[in-house]
Amino acid sequence: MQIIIEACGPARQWLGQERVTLNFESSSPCVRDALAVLGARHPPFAAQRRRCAYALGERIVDDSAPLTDGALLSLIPPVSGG
Amino acid sequence: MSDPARLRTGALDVAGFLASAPAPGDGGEVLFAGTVRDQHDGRRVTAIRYHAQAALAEARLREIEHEGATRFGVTLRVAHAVGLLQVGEASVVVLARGGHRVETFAAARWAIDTIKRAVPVWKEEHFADGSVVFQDGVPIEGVS
Repeated sequence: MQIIIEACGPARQWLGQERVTLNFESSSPCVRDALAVLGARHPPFAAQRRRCAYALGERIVDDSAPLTDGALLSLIPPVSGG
Repeated sequence: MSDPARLRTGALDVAGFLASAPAPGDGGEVLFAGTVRDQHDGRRVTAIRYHAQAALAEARLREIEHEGATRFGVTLRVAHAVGLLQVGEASVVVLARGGHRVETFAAARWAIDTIKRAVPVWKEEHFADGSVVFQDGVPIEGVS
């Protein structure tokens, strides 16, 4: 199954691109699994991981949230709007 | 009746927020508009590009309107810009209308403070020396 990572704001610099596709052989990965793979591939993200939140669409999720095939997981770095 | 998006591309039309008439029971209105400043931490800023996770940002801005209306007993309208804005252009607007000034001022202050901590928007500052840097932020929180 495939998970698409959306790198929001400064996260694009950590991943070097706006979107990254992860492939899982397991049929039931969770957010934590995706973050572990992402951190291993992108050390700048690994260094910032604990400062980020994560969202599936309009929902902030914790790292135990299950991921379905084709899910779009947004990396939400510390925000600076307003 | 149209229900415009709260997250909008380009500079916000501040005057447009005041185009609608207050309700007969409204005794006051408070409008806050955040604009792009020409300096930050002693460095000259020429523009700011605002980025957002659009789905969550739109949902959070609407949630702020609803929560603020419930909490303070006012009418609240908010909007935030995305895209490249020049110095002086409005990036965020809060309009509160209520019966009295106490709750109206309080609602407007609460709304902009909540936008700054709960809406997934990021400022990428363009400096006069050509550098472009994301402003450091705060971990996102919930609205209520």
